Amino acid sequence: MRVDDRPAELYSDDVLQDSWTWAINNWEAIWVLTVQHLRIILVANGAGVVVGVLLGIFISGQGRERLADLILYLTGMLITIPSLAMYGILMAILGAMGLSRIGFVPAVIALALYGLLPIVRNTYTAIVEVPQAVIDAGRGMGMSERQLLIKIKLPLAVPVIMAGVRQAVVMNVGIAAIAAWIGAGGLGQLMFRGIQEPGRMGSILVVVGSVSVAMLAIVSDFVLGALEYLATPRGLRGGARSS
Amino acid sequence: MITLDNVSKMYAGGTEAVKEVTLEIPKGELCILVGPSGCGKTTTLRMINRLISLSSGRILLNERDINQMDPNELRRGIGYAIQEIGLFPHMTVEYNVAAVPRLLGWPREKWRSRVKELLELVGLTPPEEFGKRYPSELSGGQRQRVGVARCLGADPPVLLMDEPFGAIDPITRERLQDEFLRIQEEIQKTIVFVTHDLQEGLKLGDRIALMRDGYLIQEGKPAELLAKPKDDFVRNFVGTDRTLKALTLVRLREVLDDSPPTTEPEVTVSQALQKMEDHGVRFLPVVNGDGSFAGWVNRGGLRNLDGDKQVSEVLMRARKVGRRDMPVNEALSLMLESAIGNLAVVDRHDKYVGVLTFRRLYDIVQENYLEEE
Repeated sequence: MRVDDRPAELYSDDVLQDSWTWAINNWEAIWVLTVQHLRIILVANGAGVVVGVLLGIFISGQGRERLADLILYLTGMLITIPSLAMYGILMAILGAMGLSRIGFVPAVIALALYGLLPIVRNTYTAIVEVPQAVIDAGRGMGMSERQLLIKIKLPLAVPVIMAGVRQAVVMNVGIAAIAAWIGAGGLGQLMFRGIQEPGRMGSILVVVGSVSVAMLAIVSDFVLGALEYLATPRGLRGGARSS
Repeated sequence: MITLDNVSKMYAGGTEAVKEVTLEIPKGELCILVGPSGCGKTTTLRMINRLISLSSGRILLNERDINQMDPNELRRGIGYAIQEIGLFPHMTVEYNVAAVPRLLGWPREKWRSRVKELLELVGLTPPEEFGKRYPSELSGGQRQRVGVARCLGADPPVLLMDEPFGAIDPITRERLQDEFLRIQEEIQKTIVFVTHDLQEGLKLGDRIALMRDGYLIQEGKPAELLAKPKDDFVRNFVGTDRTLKALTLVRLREVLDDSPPTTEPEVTVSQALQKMEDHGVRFLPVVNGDGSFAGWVNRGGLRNLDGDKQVSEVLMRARKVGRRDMPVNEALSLMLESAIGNLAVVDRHDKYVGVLTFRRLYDIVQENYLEEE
């Protein structure tokens, strides 16, 4: 990445004004970082969705209530680990396994783990809370357990699962900024450089980095909100879900 | 035909929900399982489609042991409707009703025309419009109708219904019951129907099985249950007004008296009095030339009148008449409301067919519904 360091004469009295000017002049660099940022999140949450939904479905099965409690407890614990500590632990583990300790891979693993809780929890809750009468009716008319899951439970759970995914992604947009610390790139890089850089230039980089991350979070929230709406079966939109 | 042979259900904790129930439901009959809550009626119902497994005994469906059948196949052959309905909220009415046909792999054209037929049957017309709605866009009564249509989906010979009209207001419930009777007349399914409402049971059932604490206490035709309660529990359950309930089961046409003489509006008062004298009666129904009912004359009323007057000038008009198909409890209510105490009965074309008197009503009750103490 090449960050254009303009000389000081560009600077006005207002750091926000300067940041804006700098951002306009360097939009290509910001774009590259944004794409990096998104790539980490997409891969991490993509994996998180697959693992989380499968895990959520599995623990919603009959007779697995205690396992469900345990899994939800563990995923809840993961989310409380501070991100720097998480990267540190992952670096140690990956290093011990002889894998690259920095860069894309540990960042993705960390974010996937963080994103697990909302996805697992929402999948589990949504499936468990499908009204008993609906399940009863389905079973009573001769649906197999698999048909019940695919035709009834999952379609009804999709909106809630999507809400979990949205929560995970928005949360991870922020946490991914710290991934720059282990060399995974992304918008966090602007902030870290800004912290190291003395004077006005440092402030500008921090402001541009922070604002970009915040905007990315807002935009992802909006886009996923729209997706959530589209994924909601028409019969459930804007109405009660009970039959 | 459904046969329950010594069926029991014992839960892991040791509670016995159903105890040695033996019951036979002939083909085409509607059997009501009724009893206080916790009596085991729903458990019994759910054992028939194996949603609950039996602990002992056998259940035969058309001579085949249900335990020998694949549970999902068994269930696809039995219509199932429950109080909470359990419509699939993410599917349109059309797909809800088509659920079982689709599970059975019917081709699209076939299930679509079946759905249309069923929605018409349960009165959700036009079916094209209702078929595209979602359950959340229907009223409670309409959802119940969809529930009934859905359980008829693949035209199963047997239906299991667990308080299907339980969760709706009394007026809608009554209408749905009437329509359901009409439908059953048409489709002649073998039905097991759970309710806690005896009135509903009496109205719908060909047979009634009364349960308590897991035991089948008494089983028989509705009138039998009312006329000959087996013990105090049954007597209490059917209530002290069982005679009035029994009257709901009888139609006017079965009990009306067509023997009393009638008179015409054109005769004179003295002729009418003479006729009463001749037949030893105290009243006469007055019937017009076209067979319609005109009103009443009675001895006490005519005696002090000018004997040359025409009956048409002095008769008492009755505001209410009974219809042949009216249940006798409604007829009794009309009799109590009117000052006359007798009820003229007319047929569908408003032609006079006979009369119901208190005396007659009393005799019927004495004959049929009085227990030998």
